[in-house]
Amino acid sequence: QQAIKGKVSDSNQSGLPGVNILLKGTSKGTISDASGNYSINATKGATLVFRSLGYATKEVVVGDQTSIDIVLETSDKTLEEVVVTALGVAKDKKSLGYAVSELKGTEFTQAREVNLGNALSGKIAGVNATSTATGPGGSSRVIIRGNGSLGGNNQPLYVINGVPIDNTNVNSAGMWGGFDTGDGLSSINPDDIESISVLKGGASAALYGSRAGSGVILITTKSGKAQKGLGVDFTSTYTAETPLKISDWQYQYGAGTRGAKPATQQEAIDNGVMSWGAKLDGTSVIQSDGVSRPYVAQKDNIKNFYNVGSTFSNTVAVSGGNQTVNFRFSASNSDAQSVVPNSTFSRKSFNLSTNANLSNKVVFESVMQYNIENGENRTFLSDTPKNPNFAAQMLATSTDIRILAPGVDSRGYESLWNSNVYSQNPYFATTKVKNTDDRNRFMGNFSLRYNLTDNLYVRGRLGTDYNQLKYWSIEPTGIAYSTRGSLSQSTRKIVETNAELLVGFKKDFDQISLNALIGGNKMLRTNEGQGISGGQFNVPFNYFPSNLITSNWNYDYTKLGINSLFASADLGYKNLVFLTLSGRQDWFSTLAKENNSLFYPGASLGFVFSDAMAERPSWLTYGKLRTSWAQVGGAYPTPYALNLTYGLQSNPYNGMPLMNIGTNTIPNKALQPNTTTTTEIGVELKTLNNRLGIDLTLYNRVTTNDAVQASTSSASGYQAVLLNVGKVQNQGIEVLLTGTPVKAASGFGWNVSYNFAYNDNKVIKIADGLTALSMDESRTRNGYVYNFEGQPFGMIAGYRAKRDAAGNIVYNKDTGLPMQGEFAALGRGVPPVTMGLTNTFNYKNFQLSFLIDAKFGGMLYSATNAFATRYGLAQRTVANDVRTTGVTVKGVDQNGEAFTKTISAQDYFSGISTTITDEFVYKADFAKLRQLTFGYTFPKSMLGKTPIQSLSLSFVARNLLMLYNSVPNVDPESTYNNGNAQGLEMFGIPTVRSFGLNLMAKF
Amino acid sequence: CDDGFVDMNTNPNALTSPVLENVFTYNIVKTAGTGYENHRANLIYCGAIVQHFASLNTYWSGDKYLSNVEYYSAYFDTGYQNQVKEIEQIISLTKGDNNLVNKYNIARIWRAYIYSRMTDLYGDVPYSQAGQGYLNNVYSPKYDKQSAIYADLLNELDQASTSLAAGKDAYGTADPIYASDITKWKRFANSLMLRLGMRLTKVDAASAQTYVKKAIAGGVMQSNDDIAKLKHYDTNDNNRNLDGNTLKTQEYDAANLKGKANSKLSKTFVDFLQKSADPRLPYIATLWQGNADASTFATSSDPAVQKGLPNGYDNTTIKTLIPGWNDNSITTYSEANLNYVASNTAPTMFQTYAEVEYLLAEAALRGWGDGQAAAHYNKGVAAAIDMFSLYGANIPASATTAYLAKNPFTTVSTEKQMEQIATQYWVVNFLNSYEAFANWRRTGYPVLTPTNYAGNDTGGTIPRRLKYPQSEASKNAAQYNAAIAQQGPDLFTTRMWWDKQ
Repeated sequence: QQAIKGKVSDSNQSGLPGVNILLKGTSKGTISDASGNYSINATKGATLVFRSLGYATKEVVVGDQTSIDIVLETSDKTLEEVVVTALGVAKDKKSLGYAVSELKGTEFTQAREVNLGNALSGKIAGVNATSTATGPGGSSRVIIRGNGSLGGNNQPLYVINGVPIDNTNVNSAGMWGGFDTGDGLSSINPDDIESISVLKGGASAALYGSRAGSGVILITTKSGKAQKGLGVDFTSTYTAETPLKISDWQYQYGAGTRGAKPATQQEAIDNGVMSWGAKLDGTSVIQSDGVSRPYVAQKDNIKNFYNVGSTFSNTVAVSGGNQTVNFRFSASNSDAQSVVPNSTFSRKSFNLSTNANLSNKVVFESVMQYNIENGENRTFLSDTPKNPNFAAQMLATSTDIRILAPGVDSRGYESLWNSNVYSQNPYFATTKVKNTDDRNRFMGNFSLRYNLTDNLYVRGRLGTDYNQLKYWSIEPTGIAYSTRGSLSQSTRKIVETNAELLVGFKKDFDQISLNALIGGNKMLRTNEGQGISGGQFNVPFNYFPSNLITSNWNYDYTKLGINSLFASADLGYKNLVFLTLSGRQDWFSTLAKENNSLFYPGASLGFVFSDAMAERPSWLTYGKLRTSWAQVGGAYPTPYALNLTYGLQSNPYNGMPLMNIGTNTIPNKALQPNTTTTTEIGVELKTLNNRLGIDLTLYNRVTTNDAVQASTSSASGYQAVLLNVGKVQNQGIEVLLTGTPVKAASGFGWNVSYNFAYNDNKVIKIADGLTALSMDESRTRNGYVYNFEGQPFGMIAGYRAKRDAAGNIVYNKDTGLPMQGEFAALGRGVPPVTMGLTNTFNYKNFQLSFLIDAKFGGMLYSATNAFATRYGLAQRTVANDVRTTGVTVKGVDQNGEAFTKTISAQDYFSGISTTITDEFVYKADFAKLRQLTFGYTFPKSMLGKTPIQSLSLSFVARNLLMLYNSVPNVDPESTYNNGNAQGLEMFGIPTVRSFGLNLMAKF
Repeated sequence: CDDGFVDMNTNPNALTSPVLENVFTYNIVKTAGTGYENHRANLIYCGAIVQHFASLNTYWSGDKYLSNVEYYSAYFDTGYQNQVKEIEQIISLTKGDNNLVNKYNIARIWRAYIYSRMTDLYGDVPYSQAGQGYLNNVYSPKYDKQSAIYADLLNELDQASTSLAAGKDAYGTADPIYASDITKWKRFANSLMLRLGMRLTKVDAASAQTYVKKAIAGGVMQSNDDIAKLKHYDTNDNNRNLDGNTLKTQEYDAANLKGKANSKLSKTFVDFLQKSADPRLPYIATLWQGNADASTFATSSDPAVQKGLPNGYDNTTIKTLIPGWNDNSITTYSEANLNYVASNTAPTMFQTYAEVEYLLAEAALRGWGDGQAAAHYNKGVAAAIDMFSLYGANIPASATTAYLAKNPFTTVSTEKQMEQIATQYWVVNFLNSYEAFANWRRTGYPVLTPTNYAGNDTGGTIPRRLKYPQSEASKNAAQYNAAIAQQGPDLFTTRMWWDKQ
């Protein structure tokens, strides 16, 4: 052993702080201090590895010297990339036998989305990120390599600094409306992110256990580094958001019915959403407020109703440290104003990251994050009650939405604009209907590592994610469908803790390196909710629980646990061949004792063949093959699903308790664990001296024994049954092309990155005797999402017009409307093809970057279009002069007789809008200019003697242009929740385009 | 490694074994319905089809024979999930246990009641395999033919009523209908057998006769004390009358809408009550002022000012019918009286003694009874008027005498007598529109004039059934398609087995 001292510098001879210096093949190491100095004990012949982000890693063999100074060269070579993999272990990307994609924090900090999930769209091959039409702070859906489970959670496991977090979407809109209060991801402040690693396949995920079957997204937050004095980072972003009017309605006919204008106020109200009136002729016509105005087209209702929204985010981070202790603390505030009036989301987050080398043997690490989030008046979506989007989008063509303001009459009651009391006045919905959600969240982990020897260590880690949510919502006094109002107030607490203990061993033997570990994890998750809800305020306009005339309380509690043992070993041979073996045994509390445990193994192999070639062809800079096979086990995630239970109603009948069967799902004692098996093979090639790279992966992923919550006929007495034989296969290809077409001496550079993924998905089996599985239903009760045996996951389903054997449409002779054919699949709800293209141009201190994001092959059932057809807004309701000629149908009647009839356009289109689903199922292909940033980094010379070390300013924009859209009148990305059933759309918030400025300064 | 997991996976907030009494009470309360299906099926479809109610609003699909999937599906969905589910569970838990013989047989009677309403609304429906999702793992129950369902319901009622054992425990006071009075349960079983037996007159007169006779011999209801009803209390939705409460909150909202309500009483109904000088009229009907303020009873429920709305119109088309119509005209039309027949505390009538007397009158006419048609008619009318005390109304006996004097049992013809009985049956089943709709389809009385609103789903004829939920076409496709193959297209105009043309 000898003490070695030295200094690490960059090519400009300035000391480099925070460089990792590792004794190769061991877990021993140190970090350079603020001036780049370090010291370490090593034996002669040992290898020191110097590693720092952005620099090429260097290795030095220790000889007799006691001082080693090192110069690190900057690097843009991705092959030297270090990525964070399972259990937070940083590995050379080179050594992996499976696909990992990594994104740097800056990808999310310039042109930002409030929800991180949305920002992933188009950036990684095989990751299908879908944003929803829910407004700021809403949830997103991220799917890696397709949907593997028929009914379970198909979203990846999110892990922050090694500890899983909760990503539950507690409230979302469904068939009956509702609003979205975001998911776990919406708590993450982009400015704290150092990097995000996406572990796509099972091999990489096996060590995370059962919840990793759908992949893992690892988020590493920034940490402090040894440096001189305090470092201060300040980031500020302001963006303005404007709603896009995508709808293109007919503007020839106005409000009314059967070709007539409303003649009285009552008629105007009855036909509030009906554009079946007369030709717009500019005459004076009475409207729902009793005032007569010119009968002319109103094309600006979207612009006139929605606001310009905004997002303003500021983060200050201070960091510092020395050789022993490093820290980083950040405080951040983000305020978002939705385009929907009075709807806001704010997030304050505080993050403290500490690491300490308490002695040569003891290393302590901790990251703590505390969040305070507040959503006000989240927007109701889908069904019409309390949903302002309905009126904004469906109002009769001749009505200016502003005449509905202020939405209340002199008593403070909702002013009616439409005879359906469940269709809210949009101004009433945005000013009087109230809801609030508050989230207090603590995420923390502490880990202590003790190095028993140079090669052997133990590490204990405790992590928790403590989520306290509070909801408050009112239907105010005077709301048309329930004028005495109602209120609900509830709290929910979701707590997940993970305790992990592991023993690691790391040693290099001659040409073989070994990195092995064995450990155990204990996971506990509780979910507790309680609340009070009730109707009828005793004193109107006063909204608190004791003012309710009737009230109900509720309480629910679930608890589940998973205990695990795991082991893994990484073997390297000559730094050319890498083999990883892993295995895990889980015990699940949600299954019966006989079936509650499962062992699942994995193996992966990486081979850097370019380094093994005696004579490498000149065009080949780097080449690697990788292959892996792995299983991930899982279990039904909901406790108490094995036995039938009974519950009591909170209000008895005249003193007599009311007891009913407490579940709508038929329980199943015999549930088994499920298994996801992934096989993948990939190749990475770099050519033209790293100017062009290709990364290609083929995978096959099969989920078996999937627990399926299958819908049953309501005549069974239940809505669903838990079954356990589902089998789903995903096969696909992922391609990443990276290139540097221009790298001029003038400083002009052009980088291109293109990713493409195709995922072919097939539901192989649902359950014995069950070939179709309902997943969701549109509020129209005419559009569905189903899984059908033998077809891709998540098919949009419904009805086509019935046809006889000769192909004639069968009409109901009483009405002249087509009869419904049998229930059938109509198209994929999930697009199989996703791609993204990023171009980045650098010139001196300027950088321009844009991302084009596209998806193909999916379909959308558009309830907005179905309603627009029913209400006479859609273009087809005026095409070919059908309003005057009527629609002539020709075919056969239900008795098989030849049939022809001319019926009014209003009857025809109203009729088909609720019965013939496939009239409103569209290809949902799109290409969007998703993101554009144009930045300028101020040169050091300009900053001069100011305390500012670096400063950059960028113009940023999101969702700039819809380059291609195959759905009429709506954005294909308009689904109203992030659930498994994608492909249904109805009255979401319009897509917004955002522009703004981003400032980053370092002091 | 799984210590404590069994405990962890046991729900601390639920029971693993039921208290049968409490489940039975729940079942009865839910059979009286929730605001959901009561509004959609009982009021909007059946209530308007039989022209008790009328509306200018297009969501009143039954008024205009429009197709609204939400509304025609409502009873099917809630019926199986709120009613069938628990009654099947009770039956499975009590069957074969001699100590529970009364619990079992009362449950069988109630089960027959539940399914009879279901099949009368839709025709062929899941029956033999229904409600068996947990008990027998049947997730896609087949649709039984209505003929088979009726045969079994009648047989069940027969067996259950004769198996009831006096002196043995039943549900005690947890039985909110008869407080476990076995005699009354027997009478109800036979009265229901009388109702269902009579339902078969068009399709199978022989069976009808057999069961009507059997029911009479077994002993039917004898007075208003025997009425099968659920009392209500104005405390919360598990206690309120949810037909009345739905009218109050969803339709009339008198204090707010001031008579511009979404629906009104039908002209057909109000005209009949007025023409026959029915003493029940003030308690059935009122102008909106009476619903806003009960103390205006004398003026707002004055029979002379009651006015029914014609069926089948909207705010535009009504102007062609009623000259001078304006937006305020609607306020002068009658609403159901929320202080009496449609109050939050009005009992839900499952079957009334008056109905039984009307059926006995019909049986007499058909020669299946005691031959005393007029006497049964008179008793029925007297009971139907006297029953209003249960709604808080005090109609003196003299009013009944006067009514019978003005509306004596006709002697014109048997057909006219049938019409008179069926029309009274239609009146007494106000707010039990399921039954009113079924009896109208069977008898054709009262004669209702169909409407022909533009865009209606029946070609301007009165519906003969409700359509199956769309969810059945998707979630239970094979059985649904088989049902259509056996019964006919899934249309409002398709007639069910007992509704033979």
